[in-house]
Amino acid sequence: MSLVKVENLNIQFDTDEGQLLALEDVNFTVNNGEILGIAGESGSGKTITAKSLMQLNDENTLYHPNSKILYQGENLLNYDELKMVPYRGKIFSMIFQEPMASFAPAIRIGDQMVEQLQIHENISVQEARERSIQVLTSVGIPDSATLIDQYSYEFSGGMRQRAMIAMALSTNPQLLIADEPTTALDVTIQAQIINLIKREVRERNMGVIFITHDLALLAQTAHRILIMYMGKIVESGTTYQVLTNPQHPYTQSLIESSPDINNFEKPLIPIPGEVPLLKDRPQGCVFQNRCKKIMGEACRTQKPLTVAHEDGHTVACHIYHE
Amino acid sequence: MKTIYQFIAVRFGLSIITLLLISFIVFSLMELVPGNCAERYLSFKQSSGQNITYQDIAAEEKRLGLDRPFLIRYSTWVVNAFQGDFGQSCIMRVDISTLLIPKFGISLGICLVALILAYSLAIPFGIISATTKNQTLDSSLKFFSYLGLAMPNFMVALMVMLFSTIYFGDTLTGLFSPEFQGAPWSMAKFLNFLSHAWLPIFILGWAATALALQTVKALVIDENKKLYVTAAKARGVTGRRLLLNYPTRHALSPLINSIGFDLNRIFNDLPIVAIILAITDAGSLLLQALVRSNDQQLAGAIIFLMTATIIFINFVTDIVLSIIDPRTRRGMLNQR
Repeated sequence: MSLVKVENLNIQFDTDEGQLLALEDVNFTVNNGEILGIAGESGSGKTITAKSLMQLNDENTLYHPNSKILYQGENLLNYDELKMVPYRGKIFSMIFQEPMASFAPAIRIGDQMVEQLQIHENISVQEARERSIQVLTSVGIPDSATLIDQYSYEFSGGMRQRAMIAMALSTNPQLLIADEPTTALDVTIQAQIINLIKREVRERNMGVIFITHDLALLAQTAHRILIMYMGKIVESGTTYQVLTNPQHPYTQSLIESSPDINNFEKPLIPIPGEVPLLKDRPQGCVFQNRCKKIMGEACRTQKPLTVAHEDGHTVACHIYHE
Repeated sequence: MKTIYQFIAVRFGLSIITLLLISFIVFSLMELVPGNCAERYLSFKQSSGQNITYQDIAAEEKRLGLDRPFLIRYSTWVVNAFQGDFGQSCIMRVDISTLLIPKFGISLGICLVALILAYSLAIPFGIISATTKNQTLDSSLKFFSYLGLAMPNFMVALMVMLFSTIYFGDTLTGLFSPEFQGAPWSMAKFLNFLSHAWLPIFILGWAATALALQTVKALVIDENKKLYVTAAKARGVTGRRLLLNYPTRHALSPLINSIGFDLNRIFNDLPIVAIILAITDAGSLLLQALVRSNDQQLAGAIIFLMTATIIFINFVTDIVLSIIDPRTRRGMLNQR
């Protein structure tokens, strides 16, 4: 069942250099019990997409009037700060890349958890504390009744991310947004955190938006994948479709540049050039200046349409327009 | 909770050690001044016409205990100093404590009131300035700040005197009206004191407020950009609760750290303002002692008192800090 539906999400940043397009026609849905992976380089708009679900983007963000973020038929983009509160930490929860930086350093972990529970639920401090201890224990934090009174700097990196997840799950959210939750962690810890998230999705039947730049990680976790580049979804499909049969030259390049632990001989081919700055957004296809399959005039002047390649697998590239 | 008491104990021990170290340096500096107290007093007497012999100097040295070894003299001095007894002034031959402590109290009072005033204005207005979208308000706060920072204190003091003389026919100098000069403390004298003391407090406080306000503003803006603020917002914390509990609370730690330093600065600014406004406080007394008479006993006592005050303020701010931001406790106690 569809949980959240994003329609025509267009975002501009109001800067000194003018209004710069950051997200262009982003469309996707997240279903209950599903992990939706969003992948792409830094600056591809993954985090902006995630943050706009909770309206956490900076104040200079302009949402196009036709943009919609639909939850139970309501467009959340019409909501003001006060009406957004339930969607921040209750119906939707978010965990961030750096667990160290996401906890307020001078406030006890327990106090931050209790605060969140008291904002969203009519619950006493004592009950909130007990619930927090329970959730901390369930995500594998030993002796959580003691650790709840500690500060984040007293935790190890993996523990901090567990605590962050516990905090996000404490209100039983329907959607968990995970913004590169394991990028700052060791691989062994990463495996634990990934398994934890997968287990929680199974048990709670919640939806997850999992943002990462690591395609191998998505192969392990996601049910479906969106590949983003310069604020545009260039390819989407099931994890199997996208990773075994990539259609967009960008997706293909991303896979070619990812290492494979079982193939020592695999040449790692970097994508030439860099993601252009927002103000240098190309006319036509956004990937044209780095694309090795560039065809000619159409790529430079016309925006490629998103077409269905097979059932559930879409791609936005001029190669498939014939 | 246990760690807080531990922290206070350790921090107190460190303060005492610092004070001892500084007292040693102060005493050594007093000794480094050419000539000792006996010579100075007798040469002063000689200049007023008395005949002084080497025997007189030796006898005077013996009387003052100056013939004893350095460490013994130091330990006697420091033990007395901790009890508030700084011996006698070299030249004036009066008890330094009686001469100094009332004046020192007034100086300290003026500086502390200026400091407290500065911070109680700077913190709320700094936060407002950091978060307001009202450009006019922010600009006027900025204007007021930079004016306070840019104008030297002595100039503000001179300007205030100039204007008050021209427009009110009163120079606003001194700490008491003539009728209260030397009178015993009473309610009337205290009120009279307040009616005079606001001026040095205002002059010293302005610059301090300006500096602290800009610091608060920069700190709050800086903290506001941090991920934990976004994360708190993502948990549903909004409005004033978000502002006060997250960026503000975390911006306070470095600010509290600077209070001790600020008191030091105000203390250093006070003598010049005091001389212009004709306030006979400890600061100008120190300058007098050094410039006119080389009175090392008096100078040493003043430096010791000032240092002790600053060390005490730092002790208090560190404890406040350790309550607000527990990370500082860990550094001090070397624990994980």
